[in-house]
Amino acid sequence: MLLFILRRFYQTVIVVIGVILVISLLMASLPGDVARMRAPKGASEETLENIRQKFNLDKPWLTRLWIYLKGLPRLELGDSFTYKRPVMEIIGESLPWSVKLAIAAEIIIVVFGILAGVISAVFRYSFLDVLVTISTSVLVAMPIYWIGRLMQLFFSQWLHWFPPSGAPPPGTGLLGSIPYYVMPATALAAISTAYVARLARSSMLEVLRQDYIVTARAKGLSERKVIYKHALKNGLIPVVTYLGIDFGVLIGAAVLTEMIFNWPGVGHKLYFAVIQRDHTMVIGLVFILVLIFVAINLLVDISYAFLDPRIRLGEAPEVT
Amino acid sequence: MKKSGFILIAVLITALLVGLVMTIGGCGKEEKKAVEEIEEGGTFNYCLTADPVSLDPAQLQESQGIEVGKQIFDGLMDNDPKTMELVPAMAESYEVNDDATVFTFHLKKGVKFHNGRECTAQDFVYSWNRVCDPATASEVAYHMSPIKGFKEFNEDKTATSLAGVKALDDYTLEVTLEYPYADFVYHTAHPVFSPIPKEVVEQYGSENFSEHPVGTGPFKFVSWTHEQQIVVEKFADYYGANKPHLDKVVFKIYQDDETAYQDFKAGTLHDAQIPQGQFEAAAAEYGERAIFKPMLGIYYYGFNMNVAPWKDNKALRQAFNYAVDRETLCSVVMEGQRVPATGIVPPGIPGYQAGAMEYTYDPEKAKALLEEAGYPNGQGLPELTLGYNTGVGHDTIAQFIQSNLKDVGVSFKIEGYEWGTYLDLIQGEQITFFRLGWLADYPIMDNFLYPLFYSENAGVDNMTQYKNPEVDELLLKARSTPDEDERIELYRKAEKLILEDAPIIPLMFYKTSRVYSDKVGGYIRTPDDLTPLELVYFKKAATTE
Repeated sequence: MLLFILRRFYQTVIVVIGVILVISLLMASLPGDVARMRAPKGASEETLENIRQKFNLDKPWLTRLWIYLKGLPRLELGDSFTYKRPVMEIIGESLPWSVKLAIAAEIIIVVFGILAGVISAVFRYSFLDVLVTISTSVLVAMPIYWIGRLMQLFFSQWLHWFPPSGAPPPGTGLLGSIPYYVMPATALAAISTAYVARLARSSMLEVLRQDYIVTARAKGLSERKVIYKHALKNGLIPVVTYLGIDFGVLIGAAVLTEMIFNWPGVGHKLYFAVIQRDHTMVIGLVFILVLIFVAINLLVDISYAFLDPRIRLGEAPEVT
Repeated sequence: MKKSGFILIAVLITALLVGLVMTIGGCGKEEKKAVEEIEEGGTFNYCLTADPVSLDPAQLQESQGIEVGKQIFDGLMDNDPKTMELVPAMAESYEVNDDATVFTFHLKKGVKFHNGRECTAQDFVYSWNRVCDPATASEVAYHMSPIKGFKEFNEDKTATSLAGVKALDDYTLEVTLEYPYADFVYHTAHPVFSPIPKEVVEQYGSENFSEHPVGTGPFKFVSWTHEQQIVVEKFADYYGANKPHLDKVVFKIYQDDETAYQDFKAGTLHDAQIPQGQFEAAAAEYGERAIFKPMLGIYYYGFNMNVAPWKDNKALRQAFNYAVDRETLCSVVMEGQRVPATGIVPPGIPGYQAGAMEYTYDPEKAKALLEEAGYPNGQGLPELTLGYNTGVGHDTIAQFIQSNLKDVGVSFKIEGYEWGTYLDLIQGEQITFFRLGWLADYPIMDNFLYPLFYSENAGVDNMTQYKNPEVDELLLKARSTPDEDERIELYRKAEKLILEDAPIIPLMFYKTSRVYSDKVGGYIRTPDDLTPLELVYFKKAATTE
């Protein structure tokens, strides 16, 4: 296991450096003078020169990349062009919000997605199964933007149940914070919940057809035991894989949700950084997101092995 | 199985019923009739459309920073929120010498910083020197460039302080300029000229002052949670005549106009920007509380005066000016949210002249001028391309102007560019017909005419490369004329001369679009798109049967 983790760690380093290389090259190859773009009107040539020097824009791309890579082990990601503060400080402020929102969304996905999928599979072709199938189709088809706006309209403007947007203000307790999470987490979770429900349903149906389930039933085990003790654990393997990867996606790609609900996470930071050509912010954010993504993948692989004892490292899993 | 389905439906119906009851209950409350009396206190939730870059006067540049900064910091002078005329703030009075090179400000006594210490002339000397100090790396230090010694201190780094700023005593500040410039006094109303206490800068370090700003304004800083909110509270010892009514202002930070507007509708915000596409609905719903008024900015198309066919062909440039239908552009394309340009200087600037330019929508005149220019019905013109920066609706405007010009026989391509590339291409004279806009830093005619049309600014802000010695002379003369009426007259002449030369097509003046809650009074939006929050108050609500 240790060897496996070490091997994955080296792979991670290569992936991260590769991503930084590509992103940095892409940002550098965009035309236009970044210093002039972000300087206020009336700024003198000296001011522009100062900006170029401060952000190393006067140096060739490879030199800039080398300076950047040298700072990486110490997590020195430079200063943001736009905010004029260390990128790491900005990430430190925004990443926890994205993680918290992703966790809230993941809870919704796990609870409702798995529950709906399992119920749907166990009570196949019943009213509930039809309800799950239809509602997941509708959810997958609805854009987050629209779901978000609808929720704001119903639950904030008309019913006044939840705050329309924003993160809990500083000093808000855990219970007081929950209403702030409900709508953005639900919007963020909507599509994934539908996917997980469908995935759990098909996976459970496949497992329920396996010989060992027939054997378990033949042994006289109760249906509850058959499902929860024998079928569920195996049936959830593809779901866990999906959830793990999806968690990384939920953190980094919640741009629309964060915009609609004015959530101070990394998603909209990344969006604006790209728009404003804030090189250091873009590279810094991508670096951190890649790290998270790779770390989650590693955890998923480990949990994968835990869930299915037949899976041994280096061998292809038999159940997919 | 059937039972569980039934339970699920029952739960859903119950939730809907509970919601319905809550809604009806809300509607059934007695209507409250607001009586407009000032209720002292309360917390105002203000909509800010981005996290400010900084709250340090030395770095205040974008509108969000200035919106907050104006509540925390005061300067020597200020602008009247309605007329934009210059009014004293921390200065009791000022004098200027005959050639407008030396300004002497007499300060009010007893003005206190939020930390309780009295602010004196030395604080101005310190603060202005700090802005210009290369170590501060201020990107807005250029506001102080007319001051003597600025170049040596800030740019050449051959001096260690700003030679032109002196404290004659605790309450007298003398400012000497590098060249005659009567409107300099307007600069002092910009928040970059606000005094800050040296001891606070030293306590937190110059770079961290932005996180602990202290000024002399009506509200004092409490906290800044980046990307979420900035909190300021009433400063009890505020020296100004308009003491704040509100106890606290929370600047709630948004990234999306639409989300902020939804929050306003839900009652979370007390004001918000009205998003594009909702202007008419907002006007119908909120009446006078939906504010639409001209701002101090112009949207124009420019010609590069160094390059054919624009070079030495005034008739052609004038033809383009007569061919565009500004009224329809503003009323239809822009939904009434722009004002047709009447010149270069917009209304709201002292000296504005309503009839500055003669160009009206007159396709026949445009055709006649095209013929005079040597391009009858547009024939013989080289292939033209109009450039614009992508992403903010400039394409729609360009298409409309394209159709206007087509009506008089002129065809051109339109091409969008990313902003950074776009600026480079204009400056490199590769795009010679282009869109640009200009928002004023100070409400003075000079701030439109000098940067955009003075010959020495060619290639900097004067992107049309316009050079007219007569205009240069008028602008320089106006700058050195202390008498305001005389000065304005000179600027007016210069504006008319520039318009006659037609280096640009003035299209529209910008408009602000903001809405505020019926719970508050005293809310105004200034022509530079700010709200003086010391004037805002909550209304006393009296219940009537």
